[in-house]
Amino acid sequence: MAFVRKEFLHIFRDVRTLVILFGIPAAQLLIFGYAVRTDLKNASIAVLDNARDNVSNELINKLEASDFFTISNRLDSFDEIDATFKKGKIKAVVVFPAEMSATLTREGHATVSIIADASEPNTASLVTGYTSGIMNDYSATLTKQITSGLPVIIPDVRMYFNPNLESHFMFIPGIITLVLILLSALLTSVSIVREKEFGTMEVLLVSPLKPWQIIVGKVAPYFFLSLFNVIIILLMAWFVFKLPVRGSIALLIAECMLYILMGLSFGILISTIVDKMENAIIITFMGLLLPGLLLSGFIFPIENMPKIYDYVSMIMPPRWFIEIIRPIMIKGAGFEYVWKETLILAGMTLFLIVLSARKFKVRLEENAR
Amino acid sequence: MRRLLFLLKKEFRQIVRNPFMLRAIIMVPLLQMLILVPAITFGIKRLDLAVTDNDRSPASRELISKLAGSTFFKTTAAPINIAGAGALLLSGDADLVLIIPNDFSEGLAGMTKPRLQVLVDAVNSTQAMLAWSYLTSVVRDYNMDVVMATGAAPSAIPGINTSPRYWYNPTLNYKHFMLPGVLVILIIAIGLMLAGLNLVKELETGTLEQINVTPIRKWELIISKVIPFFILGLLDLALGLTVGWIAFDIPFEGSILLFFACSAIFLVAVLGMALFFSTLVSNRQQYLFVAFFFTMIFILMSGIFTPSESMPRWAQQFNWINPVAYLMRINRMVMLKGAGFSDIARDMGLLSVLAMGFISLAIRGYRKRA
Amino acid sequence: MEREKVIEVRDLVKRFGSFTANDRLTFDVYRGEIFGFLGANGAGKTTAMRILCGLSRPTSGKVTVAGIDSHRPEEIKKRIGYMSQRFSLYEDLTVNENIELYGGIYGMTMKEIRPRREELLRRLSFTGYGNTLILALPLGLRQKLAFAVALFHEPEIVFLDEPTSGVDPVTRRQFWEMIYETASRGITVFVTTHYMDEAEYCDRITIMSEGRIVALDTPSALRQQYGTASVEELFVKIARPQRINA
Repeated sequence: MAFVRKEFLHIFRDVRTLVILFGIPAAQLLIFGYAVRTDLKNASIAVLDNARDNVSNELINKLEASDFFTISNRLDSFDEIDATFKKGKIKAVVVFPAEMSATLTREGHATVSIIADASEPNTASLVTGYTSGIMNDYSATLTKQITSGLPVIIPDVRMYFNPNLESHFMFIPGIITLVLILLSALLTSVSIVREKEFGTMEVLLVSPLKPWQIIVGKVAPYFFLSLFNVIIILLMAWFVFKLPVRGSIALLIAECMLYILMGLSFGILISTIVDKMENAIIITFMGLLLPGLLLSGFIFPIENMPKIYDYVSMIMPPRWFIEIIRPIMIKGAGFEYVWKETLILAGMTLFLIVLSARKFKVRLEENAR
Repeated sequence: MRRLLFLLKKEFRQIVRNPFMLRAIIMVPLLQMLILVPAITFGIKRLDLAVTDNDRSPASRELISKLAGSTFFKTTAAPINIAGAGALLLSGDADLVLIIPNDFSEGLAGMTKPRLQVLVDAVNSTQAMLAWSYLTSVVRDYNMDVVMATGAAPSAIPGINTSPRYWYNPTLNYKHFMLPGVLVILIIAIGLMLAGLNLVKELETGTLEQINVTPIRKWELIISKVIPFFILGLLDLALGLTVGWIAFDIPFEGSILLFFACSAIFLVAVLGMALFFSTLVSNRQQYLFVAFFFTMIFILMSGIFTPSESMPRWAQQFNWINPVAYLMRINRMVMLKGAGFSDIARDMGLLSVLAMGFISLAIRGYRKRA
Repeated sequence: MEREKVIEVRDLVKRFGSFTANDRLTFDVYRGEIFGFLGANGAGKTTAMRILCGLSRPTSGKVTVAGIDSHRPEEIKKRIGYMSQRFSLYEDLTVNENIELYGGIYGMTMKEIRPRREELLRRLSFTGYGNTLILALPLGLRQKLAFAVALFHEPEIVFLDEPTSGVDPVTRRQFWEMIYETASRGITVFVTTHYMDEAEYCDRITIMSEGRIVALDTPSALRQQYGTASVEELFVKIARPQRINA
C-alpha cells in the first residue's frame, strides 16, 4: 500500500524521530542496566570499633571483603557520627561494643549496632539488611565450629531465576513496557495531530481512501517499528546483560503485539480528542508514561503504596503487561500462568479500539457537516 | 539595562495573560506533591512464604509458627514436592518456599544433621537478599530455643546480633525521603517546560525574528527569559514546600534560607539548560523530546530513587556535570539532617559553576542570525 | 550621480551546502527610494534581504548597509527597521504595549515613547485601539501596525518582506500609501513582493531568478527594454526558472 510507504518515508527522513526510535531505548537500557541499581554496591560505611579485639577485627575484615561496602572511615567516638553523616558520604556506622570477644564467649552473643543514615530509607534498610546478613554468616561459621555435637539447623538456599542476584533482571521488562508506550502511543498521536495541525489530514480525508485505511496507514509503520524495537531490546538484553528469554519467544512477541495494539489505539484516541501537539504529548505522558513508570511495579512495588494507587493501577495497561512479560522472560512461565492478565489486557485493548474508532467516526461526521 | 527592563515588562505581561501558564503554576506543584510523594516507596512488603512440611512433627510446627509470627512473612501451607514448589514461584503465588525434610525432628534429636531447604524467587534481587536474611535470623532464634531447651548454656551457640538504628528518619518513612527529591523534580518541570517552550514558541511564531533584527544583545534577551521564570520557579517551590508540609508533616531540620539559596542556584542551571536546548531545536515537539530525554537521564542518574553510590564509576563521574545530583544531595542533607553551609559548601560551589556554565552556553548558543 | 547610496552590494554570494541561494548579486539602493525585489518563490529574495538585515552572514562578497559593513550586523540593526513575512507583533500584548516594547528595545525612554505613540496612533487612525490586544485586530490593521512599529525608531532604511501577502485589496492600497509617505520622509524602503501590480509602484525593481539578478531598472525602462505592456508579462518572460530545483 503506497500510503503506508509514505508514512515509513516520513519517519526515516526525520533524523530526530530516528534518534528517538533507537536512542531512547538504548539509553534507557544502558541507564537501567548499569547505572540505576536497586541493590547496593560499594556503599561507604564507617566503623566505630570500641572493642579492638580479634572478633571485631574479623568482622570488619568481613565487611570490607564484601562487595556491598567500602569502609572509608574509622571513628573514635560516638559524637563524631552526626558530623560524619552531615557530610553526606557515609551511609551507616557500624558500632562494635567494648570487650566483644569476652562477651561473646561468656554470654554466647554480642550485639553490634548499625546506625544508618535513614534520610535515604532504602539505602538504610539495605545497609542494615546486608550487615545483618554478614553477621549471620559469621554466626553460622562460629556455630559450625563450636557446636558440631549440638542439634542445630542450618538452612540451604537456592535463588531461583536469578542466581547471581542481578538487579537489572527486574528492569528489562519494565523498559520494554515504557519504550513501547513511547513509540506506539506517543508517536502515533503526535504524527496524526501533526497532520491535523498542518491541514494535510483534510487532504487525506477528501481522498478516496476510507477512514480506516487512513488510520491503518498511519499506525502500521509504528506497529512494525515498535516490534523491531522489542527485538533490539531483547537482543541487547541477551548479549549485553546476559538475560536470554527463558519462556516462549513466540508467546512473548504475541503479547508484545497485543500491547502495541493497545498503545496504538490509545494514541489514536488521543489524536481524536486534541488538536495541538503539545496537548497530545502531555496527555500521553500523564495518561500512560507516568503511570507506566510509577504504577506498573516497574521499579516501585505497588504493594507498599496507599491502597488507592493499587486500585488505580488496576486500570492501567502497563501494570498487566509487566505482570505478563516478566514471568515469561525471566521465569520461563508459559501461557497457563499469564492467561488471566492477557485476557484483561486484551479486554482493555478492545475497549480502546472500539472507543477510538467511534470517536474518529464522530469527528469525521462533524467535519463533513 | 533599560532595554532589559522593557523586555521584562513584556514577559511578565505575557505570563499574567496566559491562562495555561497560570494553571500550570498552581497545578503542577499540587499534583506532583500529592501524587508522587506517597507513590514512591521501596520498603519490602510482607513476603509470601509457602511451607512444605514433610515432617509434620511438633518441632516443625514450632518452626512454622515462629516464621508465621515474624512481621516479615505471610505463611501458607504447601504440601508438595520440590517441583511443585518451583511452580509456586513460577506463578508468583509464593515469594519463597521453605521445605522441611521428613527427617527434621530426627535430626534435631541428634540422629542426623537437620537441613532446611529454601527456594527464593530472585527476580527482584534486593527482595530476595533481604528475604534470605530475615529467614536466617528467624532460624537462628529457633536454634537458640532448641539449644536452651536441651539445658545447654546460651554460649553454646555463639552469635552476633545486630540492632539497627535509623537516624534522621527513625520510622523509615519514604515520604521524608521523596519529598526533597520531588521538590527538585518540581523545579525541573517548571524550568524546563515553561521557560524552554516559551522561547521555542517565539521562534515558531516568528516574533523572535523581529527581535533578532533589533540591536538587542544576546545576554539581554536570555536574561529577560531567565528572570521571570526564576521568580515563578521560586514561588512554585514555596508553594510545593507548603503543600508538602501541610500534607505530609515533613520535618525541616536545616535552614530554609539555605534551602532556597541552593534551589535558586539550581533553578538558574535548569533555566540555562532549558534555553540552551531551545537553541538546538526548531519546534516545540522537538524541544519536548530533547527536554524529556535529558531530564530522564539527569533524574535517573541523580540517585533520586536509588543509591548513586551503587552506580559504576562512569555513572558517578557523569554526576559531576549533573545539576540534579547536587541538589538531590543538598536537599536531603539540609531538610532531613540539618546540614549547614559548611557541610554543603563544596556542592553548592560546583552547582554554581554549572549554573554559570549552562547560562553562558545558552547565551553563546543563541543565534541572532540563522 | 549625486544621490546618496544607502545600500551597496558587490558580488554577494550565499550558499547553503551545495545550493547557491544568491549568486554574485551586485546592486545599489539610494536614499529615499522605494526599491522592489521581485522573484518567484525560492528565487533568493528573502535570503538576500535577511543578509542585508544582519540575520544571516554572506558566504562571500561585500555588503554595506547604511554605511556599515555587514561584518558588524549589530551596528546595522540600530539603523534599520524590518517587517517579516510572518506576522511578528506579540498577539497577547496590546497595541500600546507592542509599541512600547520596540521603542524600548531601540533605547527610547517611556517619556520619549508616549507622545510619539499617541501621534502614531492618530496618524494610523488607531486612536482608541491602544489598549486592544493584537489578537483582536483584523489582519489588515495588524499589518499596518507592524509596519508602523518597524518605523517607530526612525530607521534610515526599512525592509519589508512580502508585507501585503494575504491582505485585501483596500488595505493593500492603504499600505502602499504608507510606503509612499515613508519614502517621502527620506526613509529608504526595500520591499520584496510577488504581486506584480505592486512592482509598478516601486521607483526601481530588481527581478531575481535562480539566485541571480536578471533585470534591474525602473519599471518603465524595463517594460520598454523588453517590449512588454506590464511588469507581469515581463516577469513571465524573463524570470521563469529554467530548471526545477527540488
